[in-house]
Amino acid sequence: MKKKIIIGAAIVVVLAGGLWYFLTRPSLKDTVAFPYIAHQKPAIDPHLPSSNAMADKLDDVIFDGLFNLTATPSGVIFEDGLGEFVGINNDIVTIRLKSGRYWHDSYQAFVDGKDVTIEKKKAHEFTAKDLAFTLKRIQSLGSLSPDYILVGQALPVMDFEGPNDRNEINFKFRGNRIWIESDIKEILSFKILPDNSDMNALTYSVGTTPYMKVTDYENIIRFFGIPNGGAAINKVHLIPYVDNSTFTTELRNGNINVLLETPFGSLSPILQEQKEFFVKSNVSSTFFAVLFNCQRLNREQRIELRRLLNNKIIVDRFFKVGTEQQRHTINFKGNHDNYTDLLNDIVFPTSSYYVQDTIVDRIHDNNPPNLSVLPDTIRIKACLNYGYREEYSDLIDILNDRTITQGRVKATAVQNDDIKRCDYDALLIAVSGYRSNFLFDLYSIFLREPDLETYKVNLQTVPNDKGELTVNPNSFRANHNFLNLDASVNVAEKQDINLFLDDMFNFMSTHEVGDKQEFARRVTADENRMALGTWLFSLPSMAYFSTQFDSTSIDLYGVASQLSTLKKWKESQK
Amino acid sequence: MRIHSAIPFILFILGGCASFKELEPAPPLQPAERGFIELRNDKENFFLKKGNKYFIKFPGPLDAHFYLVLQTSAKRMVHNYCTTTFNDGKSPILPIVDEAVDQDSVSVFVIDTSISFYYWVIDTVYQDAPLSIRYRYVPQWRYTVENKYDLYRRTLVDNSVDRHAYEAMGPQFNFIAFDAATEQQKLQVKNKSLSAMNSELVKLEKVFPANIATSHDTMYQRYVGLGNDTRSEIQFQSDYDVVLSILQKESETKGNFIAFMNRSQEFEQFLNQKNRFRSPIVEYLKNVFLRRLEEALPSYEAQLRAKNDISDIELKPPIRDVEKLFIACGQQLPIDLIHVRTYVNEFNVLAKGVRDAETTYEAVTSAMQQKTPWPENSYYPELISKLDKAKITNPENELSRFEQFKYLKSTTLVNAGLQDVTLKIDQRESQFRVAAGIVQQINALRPQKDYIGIIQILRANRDMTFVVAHYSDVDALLLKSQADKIRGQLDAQDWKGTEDGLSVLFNDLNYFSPSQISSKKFQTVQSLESDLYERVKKLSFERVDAFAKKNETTINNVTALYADSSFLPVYTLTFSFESQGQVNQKRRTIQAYLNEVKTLRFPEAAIRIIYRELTQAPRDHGVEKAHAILVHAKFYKGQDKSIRNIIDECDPLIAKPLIKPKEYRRMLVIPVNEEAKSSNEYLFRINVKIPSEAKFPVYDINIKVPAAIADKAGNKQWFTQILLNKKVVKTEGHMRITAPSKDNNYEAQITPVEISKDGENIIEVQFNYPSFQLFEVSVMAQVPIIRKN
Repeated sequence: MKKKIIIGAAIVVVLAGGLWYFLTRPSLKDTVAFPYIAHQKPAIDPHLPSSNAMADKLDDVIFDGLFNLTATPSGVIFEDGLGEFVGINNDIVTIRLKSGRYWHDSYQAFVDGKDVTIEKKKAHEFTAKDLAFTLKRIQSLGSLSPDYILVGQALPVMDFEGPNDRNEINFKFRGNRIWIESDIKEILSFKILPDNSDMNALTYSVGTTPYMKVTDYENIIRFFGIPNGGAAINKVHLIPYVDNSTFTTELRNGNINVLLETPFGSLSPILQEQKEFFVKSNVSSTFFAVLFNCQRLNREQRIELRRLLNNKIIVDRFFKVGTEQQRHTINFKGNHDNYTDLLNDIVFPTSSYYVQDTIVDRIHDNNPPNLSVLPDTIRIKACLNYGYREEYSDLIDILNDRTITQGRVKATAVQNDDIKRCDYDALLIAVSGYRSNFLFDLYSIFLREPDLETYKVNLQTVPNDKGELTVNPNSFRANHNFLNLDASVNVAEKQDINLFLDDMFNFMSTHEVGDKQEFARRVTADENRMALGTWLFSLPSMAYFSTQFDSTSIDLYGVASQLSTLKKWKESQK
Repeated sequence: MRIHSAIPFILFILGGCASFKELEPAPPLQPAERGFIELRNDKENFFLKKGNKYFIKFPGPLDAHFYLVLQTSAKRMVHNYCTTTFNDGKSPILPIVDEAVDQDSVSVFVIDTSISFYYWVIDTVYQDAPLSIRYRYVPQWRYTVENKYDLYRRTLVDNSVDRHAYEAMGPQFNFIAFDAATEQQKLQVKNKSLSAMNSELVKLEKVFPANIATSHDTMYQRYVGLGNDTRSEIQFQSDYDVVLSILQKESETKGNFIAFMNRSQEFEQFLNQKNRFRSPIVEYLKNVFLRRLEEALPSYEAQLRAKNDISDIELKPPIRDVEKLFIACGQQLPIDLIHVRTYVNEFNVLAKGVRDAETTYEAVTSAMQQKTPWPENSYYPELISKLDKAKITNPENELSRFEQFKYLKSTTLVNAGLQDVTLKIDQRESQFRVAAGIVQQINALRPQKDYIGIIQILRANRDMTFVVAHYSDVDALLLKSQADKIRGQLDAQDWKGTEDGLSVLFNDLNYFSPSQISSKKFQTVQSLESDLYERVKKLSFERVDAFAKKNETTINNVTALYADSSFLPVYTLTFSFESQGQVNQKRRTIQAYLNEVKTLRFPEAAIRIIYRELTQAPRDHGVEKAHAILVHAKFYKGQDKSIRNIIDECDPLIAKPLIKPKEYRRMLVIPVNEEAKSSNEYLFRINVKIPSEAKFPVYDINIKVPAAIADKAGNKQWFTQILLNKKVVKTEGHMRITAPSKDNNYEAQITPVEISKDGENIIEVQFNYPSFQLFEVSVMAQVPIIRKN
C-alpha cells in the first residue's frame, strides 16, 4: 500500500510538474523560433557569402530579388519578386517592376517589451533606382559576390534602360545563348537593397519581404510580419544560445520550434521518437577541414600529415559507426547513414556540383604516412566558440586519439586569438554555409582573415595592361589567411602559391562555365599538389520542425535556402 | 499791230515773185533760115541793169540740124547760157554747149525741132548796159562751109604729095639712091592731115538736107569740088605708100630668104594689082623678086642637110609659098625645087611609117608587159595582127633615087629605122606565136584548175618571162585550191584528213616560185591549222558543255558520267607546222578546258542544282541526290566556298562547322552505307568553332532529332554512339545526354561539351535506322550558365 501511495504521489508530482511546465512554457504560437549562437549574431549581406550559415538563410527572410528562388514540392522555382517577366526579344529582356512594394522603413515598429505593433508610416516604395543601386553594388563587389558571377554571365553591362511609363525596364543580355524565362529569372534573382543603403554596411536589414526586422528583445532577433504582408506566421525569432549543445533539448522543450542544423548533422535520438517533430533534409552546407600552416609545415610534411589524417576513420569515429551510439543520418535524397558520401577528398566537397558532376576528380592518397618527416607533435587547434562546439569537441578527441593519429597530433581547443596569430601547425575548422552549386566559395577558405569572430576576405586585385582585373599576390600575406600562405615568405613555394592564387581568382571571378570547371580542376590540382589541408567531411544538413507547423507548407529542396519559403509556412490545424 | 502782222505776208509775196525778167522782143523772134536779125524791144535795145536777171525765149527751128547763132557785144559783159528748160532759175537747168565759146561776141547753139523753146538766160549783169544782139537760125552744114571752106582748101594744097618720083620710077630709076623710107614718112604726115579733113567733110555730108544734091546751092557746089579734090589726092597717096612699102620690105630682107618669104604674100598681092600701079614699077619689082627666089634651093638644101632625125621635114619657107611667088612673077617652080618637094614628101611618108611601126611595136610591147592576167587565146594573135599592120611594105630604095639626097643623114636614119622596126616586129611576132601556143595550152588546163599542169608548162617555158608574167598568181591559185580542199575536209570534220592535207601542203614544193609563195603558204597553213585547232577546240568545248548541261541533274550512276568521252577532245591533234611543242600546247589548252569542265564547272553546276533540288524536296530521292553530290565532289577540284559547303553538307564524314551560338544549324544526314540494308548506318558530325570569351569554353549542344528517329528508338537509346573528338561521350559524371522526346520537342542535349578554343571539336553522332532515307537535324550550341540550382 505504501508502495502504491508512493507511486501515486510520484505520479501526481509528475503530472503536476507536467501541468506546470505546460502552463508555464513560453508560447510559440504564430512564431517561428530557431536558435543561434548568441555571440555570432548574423551579419546579413545579401550579396556576400557569410561564415555564418544563418546569415545567408536570413537573406531570404528579409530581401526580395526581381525573382526569388524558392522551393516547391516539385523542386525549386523562381517566383516573381519585385519584378514580372514581360518577355525577351533579340536578347533584350523586359521586366516590369512591381508597384506597391514597399521597403521595410515604410513601417514603424512600436515595441513594448515582447509586444510589437507595426504601423505604416511614410511609404518608401521600391523603384528602379533601388535596382540600379543594387547592380552598382554587385558590380563593385566583383568576384567576392556570387551575384556578380551570376549577373555578369548574362549582362555585359550591369545596367538597364528604363523604366518606361509602364514601369518596364530592359536588360541587354549577352547573345551567346537562348535565354529562356527560367534562366532569366535565375540571373535576376539577386536580392535588392534600397538605394538609400550604405554601399559597404556591415549588415543590411531593410528589405521588401513580408518580414521586417524589429528591435531585439533580450538578444532575440525578431522579425515581424508587416501589415498585409502575406506571411502566414507573424513572427520569426532567433533565440540566442551559448552553443549548439542544447539545441535539441530546447527544441524538445518547446523553447524553439525549428532547428535548422542538428548537432553532428545527425538524427537526434532525443527527437527521433517524438511525434511532435518532423525532420527535413537538404544538401550539406558545412564541412570540417584541417588547414595546414604553411609557415610551419613544409610541403613534404603537409603531404604526410594529410596521409596521417584519414578522414574515413575520422568520420566513422565521428558518427560512432558500428556502435550503439551511432549517429544516424539521412540526406535530402532520403539515403540513411551514407557516411562515405560525406567524405571530402579535395577542397570541393563531395556534395558540391564539382564533385557530384565529376568536374573534378576526387583524389585520395591511400599511401601510409611517412611519419619520419613529420614533427614529433603536430599541433592542431580549433576554436569552439563560433559554432559547432559539439562537433569540434568530438573531433579534437578523435584527432588526439593515438590509434588514429599515431600519437603525432596534439589537438587543442583554443581562443580566437591563437587563430588570429596563426599559432598552430594546423587548424581544425568548420566551413559553414558553403554552396554546393557552381558558386562554391574558395575565398572563404583560403583568403579569409584568420579571425573567426569577423568575416573578412583579403582579396586584392589590380588591373592588367588590358584593363582586366587580376589578383594581387599580396592577397596571400603571412598571418592573414588560415594557411599562413605568403609567396614572399614561402620562397620555395612561391611559384605554386602564386599559381594557386591565380587559379583560385580565375575560378571565383569567371562567369564562364567552362572556365569555372577548368579552374576548379586546376585549383584542386594545385591544392592537392601543395597539400594545403585535409578536407575531412561534410556535415549532413537536417532540420527539425515542430509539428506546430504544417509539414506540407514547408518545402526544402536541394540548394534552396531553408527559409526561402518562410512566408508560406503555416501552423498545423490541430 | 496790223502793220507788224502784214510784214511776213509781204515778205512771202515778194519772195514768191519771179527774180528773172523775161525780155520779150518786138517784133517777135522768127525761127526760119535767114540772115542775122536785130533783136529789139520796139526798135530799142533792151537795157540790162546790174544785179538784175533776164531771159529770152527762142522758138525751136523749123528743120533739123540747125544752129541758133547770137551775135552780141554783151557776151563778156554778162554771164549767160542757153538752156532747153527754164523755171526762173530753178533746177533743172540743161545748158547747151556754146559751139563758139572762144569767140567774144558770137555764141552758137545746136538746136533741134523737138524743143519748142530755148531760153537764153542772163543770170548776172556786171554793169548797167544796153543789150545789142542779133540772132540767126542757120543749117549747120551751111554755117560750117561758110566759115571753113578757105581753111579746107589751104589744107588740101598744103598736104598734097609731089608726084615726080613716083612718075619717074621704072627700069632706069635709081632706086638705090631713092630714100623710100623718108619719102614714105613725109607722105604719111600729109596723108594724116588730109585724111582728118576728109573725115570732117564726110561727117558734114551727113547733115545735108535730103534734096541738096539736086539743088544749085552755091555753097554746096563748092563743097562737092573740095571733096573730089581731096579724095583724089588721098588715093594717090595710098598707092604711092604701097610702092614705098614694098620697096622697103624687099630692101629690108636682103640676105634673109626666110624673112623675105615671110612677106611673100604682100609681094604676091602687089604683083597681082597690075592696074593700080604703074607697069614699070611692077616689072621692076618682078625682076627683083625672081632674083630673090633663087635663094630658095640653097636654103632648102641646107635645111635637109641639117636634118638628123626621122621626124617630118617642115621646110621654111614652105615650098608652096615659093611656088606661088614664082607664079606671081610669071614663072613655074624650078625642077630642083620640085625634087626637093618630092623628096620631102616621100621622106615624110616613110618616116611616119617607121614612126607608126615603132609606136605600134612599143604599144604591143607595152601591152605585153602589162602582164595581162590569164589572157584569152586571142590575146597574142591580136597583138600579132597589130604588128602585121604596122609593117611597111615595099619601102626599099624609094628615097635612094634622089641622088642629091641619097646620103643625107635623114635618109640614112629613116632607112635604118625602117630596118630596125621591121626586125623588131618580126622577132616580136615570133615570140607571140610561141606565147599564143602556151596560152592556148594553159587555157585548156585552166577550167580543171589543173594548176600543177599549168605550173609545169610555165616551168618548161620559164624563159618566156612575159608569158610567165601573165600567171603570176598561179602559185597562189594552186595554194588556194589546196587550201580549199583542206578547208572542205575541215568543214566535213575530217580532222585526220585535214591534218594530212596540212602536212602535204606545208611540205609541198611543186610551185612555180616556191620561195615567193612560201610566206603565203606559211600563212595559209598557219590559218588552216589555227582553224583546225579552233574547230576542234570549239566542238570539244561545245560537246562537253552540252554534256555537262544535259547531265547536271543526273543523280544515278554519276561516276560513269565522268568516264564519258565528252571529257576528251573530239580529235587529238598531232600536227603543227611549228613544232610538236605547239601540238602539245594546243592539246593541253583543249584538255585544260575539258578538265575545267570536268573538275570545276560540271561538278559545280551539278552540285548546286542537285543540292537545290535536294533541299526543295529532301524526300524525293534525297539519298540519291546527296550521294550524287558526293560523287561529283570526288571530281570537284574547285575552291568555291559555297560548293565546298554543299559538299560538306552532304558528306556525313565532314564535320559541319557550328560557328555561332544559339542559332540552329540545319544539317542533312544521309546513310553512310551506299546501298540500303535492313539497318542503315547514319552519322553526322559537328565541329564546334564558336568564338568565346572563355578560356575553356563549354557548350550545351542541342540537337533537334527527327521525330521518326526518336520514336523508332522506342525505349532504346536513339543513337548508337556519340563521340567528342573520337572519344565516346557517355552520360556519366558531369556529362549529360538528354533524350529527345515529344515533351522536349525531340531535342536532345549534350552538355557540357568542353571545346578547345583553337583546335577542332568534332562531335559525331551515329545512329541506325531501318529505312534508307535522308534526314535533317538541326544543331545548336549555346553557352551553359552558372546556376544557383
